[in-house]
Amino acid sequence: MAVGNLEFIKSVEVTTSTSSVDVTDCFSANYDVYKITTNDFSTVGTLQTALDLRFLDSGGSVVSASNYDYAYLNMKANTTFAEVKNTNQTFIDNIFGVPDQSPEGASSVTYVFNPFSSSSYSFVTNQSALTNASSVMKGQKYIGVLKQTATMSGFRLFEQSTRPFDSGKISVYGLASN
Amino acid sequence: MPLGASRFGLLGGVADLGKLELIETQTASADSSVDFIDLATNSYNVYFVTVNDLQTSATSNARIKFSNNNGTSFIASGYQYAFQRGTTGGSFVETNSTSDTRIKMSLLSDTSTGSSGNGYFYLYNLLDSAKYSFTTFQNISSFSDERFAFGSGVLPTAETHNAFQIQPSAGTISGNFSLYGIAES
Repeated sequence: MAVGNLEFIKSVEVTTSTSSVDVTDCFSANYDVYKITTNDFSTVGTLQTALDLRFLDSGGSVVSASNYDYAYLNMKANTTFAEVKNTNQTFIDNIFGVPDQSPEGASSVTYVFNPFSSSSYSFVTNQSALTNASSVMKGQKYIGVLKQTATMSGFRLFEQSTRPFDSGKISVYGLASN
Repeated sequence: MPLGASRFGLLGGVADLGKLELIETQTASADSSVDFIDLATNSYNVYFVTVNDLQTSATSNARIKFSNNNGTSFIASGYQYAFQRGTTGGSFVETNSTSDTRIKMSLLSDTSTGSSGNGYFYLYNLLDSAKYSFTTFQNISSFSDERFAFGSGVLPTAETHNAFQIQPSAGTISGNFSLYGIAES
């Protein structure tokens, strides 16, 4: 195995039913850019649920102010694509996909830029793939931002449709720059 | 409310170096396909594949197929995908399918000087027999003009896929192809 500069920071694996997971203290002064993989998320029931994002501030509290902007291209295998965009929202909607019960599920890769900086906004780019209950595939290409010049220490992955999930793994890596 | 970390398998906490792990690099030269087999030998939940300087002997695009018998054969039905393609000429095109013989990525090349395709894709859950196998991809091709593509694909069959193939739609394929595992994913 060759050793690279993608440095593992933390994983959280979901094994019980929940609607929210906090990944705490994963951002630090050690990195400017982070990579997050979310793999194999699936719901307890058969209905799909959107997996959303909020950041955690330096004290670990959830940032729910109306400072989130996002835009994404919703690409379905069976129909025309759709653009979705919103400004001044309280969270970033759908960014980790919209899974339902296994073996359907959602996986994604996200990059986060400058979350720990107190002088920059926190930006995200993301790409995901999932299938719905009819086993039709959907992909998303995503950009988002938290318009706060404040230090973020982590993030929350959550759903708010009372359709909990019981499977999935989040891994956070830092991209070494020196 | 979120559950405490004790309810989950909480791992890590400090940086653990070197988690993009090179498994294999193949350099193809006028080959009919590039096959990565024996994935179970280096088991990961998420794989990362780079494609560098892809060239083909005919106007062609590269596709992905999965195998459930370690590359003895590659599955030729049931694939779904959706991707957006854009060109420097100004056209943007949606492409999708719910039943194809492979996953298209719009990674293109032809025989003209300087033409090549470059990009990457991720593979999810290939070795999990209870899950579907997904991919997300992004690439750029220098073809009749420059063009990008990004999208996703799936083989919605819950079974182990222990090999995959990159195959040109016509002619032969050349280029550098590297397979990495993302540890702890």
